[in-house]
Amino acid sequence: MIGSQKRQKNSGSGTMEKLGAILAIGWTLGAGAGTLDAQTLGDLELVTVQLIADSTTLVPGRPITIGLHLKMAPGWHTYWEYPGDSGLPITLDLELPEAFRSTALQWPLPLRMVEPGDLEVYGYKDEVLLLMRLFPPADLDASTVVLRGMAEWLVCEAICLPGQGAVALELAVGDTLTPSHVDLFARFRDQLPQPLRGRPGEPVEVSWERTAEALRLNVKGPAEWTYDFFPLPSSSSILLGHPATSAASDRERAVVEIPLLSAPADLGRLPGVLVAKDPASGERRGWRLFGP
Amino acid sequence: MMIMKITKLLAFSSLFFASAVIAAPEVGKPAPEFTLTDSNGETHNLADFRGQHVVLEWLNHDCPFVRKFYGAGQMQAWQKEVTDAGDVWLVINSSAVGKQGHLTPAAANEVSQSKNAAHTALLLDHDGNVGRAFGARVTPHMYVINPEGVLIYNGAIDSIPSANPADIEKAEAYVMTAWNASREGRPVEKAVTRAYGCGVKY
Repeated sequence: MIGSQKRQKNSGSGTMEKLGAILAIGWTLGAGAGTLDAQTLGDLELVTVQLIADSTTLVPGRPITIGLHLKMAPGWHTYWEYPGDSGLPITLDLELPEAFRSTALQWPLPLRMVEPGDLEVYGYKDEVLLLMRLFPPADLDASTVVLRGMAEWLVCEAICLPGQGAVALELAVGDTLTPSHVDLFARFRDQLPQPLRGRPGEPVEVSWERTAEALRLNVKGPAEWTYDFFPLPSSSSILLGHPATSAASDRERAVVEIPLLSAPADLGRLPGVLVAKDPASGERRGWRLFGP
Repeated sequence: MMIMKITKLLAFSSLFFASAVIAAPEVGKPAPEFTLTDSNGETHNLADFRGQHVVLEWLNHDCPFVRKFYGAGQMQAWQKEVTDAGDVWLVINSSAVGKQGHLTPAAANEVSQSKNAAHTALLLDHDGNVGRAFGARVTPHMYVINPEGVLIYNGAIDSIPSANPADIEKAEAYVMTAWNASREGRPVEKAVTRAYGCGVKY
């Protein structure tokens, strides 16, 4: 069965192959939206992927935000930039036109999920929009611009299937920006972690403690919030257990304990994302913590 | 009062550790001993292989990350390199009955033959006890044990976590680097890495 596999994309299990797993590609075009590519399993559309922009037009020298929009079938999930115990992050290999620049992918707050075998993973269900700022050159001389790229991901339920999709987005060049997908971009922009720099006036304060077998992140912030931490270990030789949050005895603080299965003796902190949830509204917000 | 509080805190933290991960054996310490039956009904005891290096490979043949290496013929090539050198390569299947990648003895032999596998034996661990003792999280999770029975490598098969066979030649094959280093009497520089793949279907 292993040898019969011709392409990595979309062929996960022998059983599923018998169901006739194929990659189907559909084409739809909308304002500010690029071609739609899909990963299917039999009749089930597992993942659709599309490159979209928050403006249907491009103005020379004015940045816009573009987004890689993935929609997952119910029950299936894709992965955050650090996937946890298993899985792979979503990737986008984007070809930029001459003299364009862009930021790296910006990742909305992930969910903590459990896969069989007590694996803890971090990722997305239903849909996610990964954002990038795009900077066109001031001397842009073209009537339209086309962005092309290849997105890759792993999508899992009880089993995992790698998928990939070609994305393309055509933008007309004009004098004014033409807002598009306003609600979608706003919803996911709100889910981007903000940098936490340890300056006065920030809503939460953090400090780190190192024990022989764990790192402890002390969080001081509004007592009504609940806290969670998603690590972003900088090296593949750092192996982490599952972060667990408990309320400190004074109730003003929360403590996140991150077991270290393998780490340098002098590792005193970890980059990652601290997430606070307001149990009343269910709203989540997050802060990016920086490493050593 | 104070002592009560501390005891409570300790109880909490040990709970967190217990739920955090399945036990992982420590690199540099003796590997957990085990006895398993292979796909031909023969029994193998890890202690039988003292004097040889032993590579352990966790297998779920339907996992895309495993297929990446078998489809390219790379896993078989590494198996052959190790067994041709007089060392031991044990493939372990911990997929439970009814779960993806579960192999009956006959199916295990069919998989081995159709892939031209060059391992020493394919061991069946359907209750998952050996997988859990080693902390095997994913397929393919890899381990190397030295001739003295000491675990010298625990982690990823190579340095590029992906399901794309084109990445194999660009990656550093951590498991083979560790095996080669130990054979040549050098220390294993990357002795623990983050294994990638599909979760083991316990």
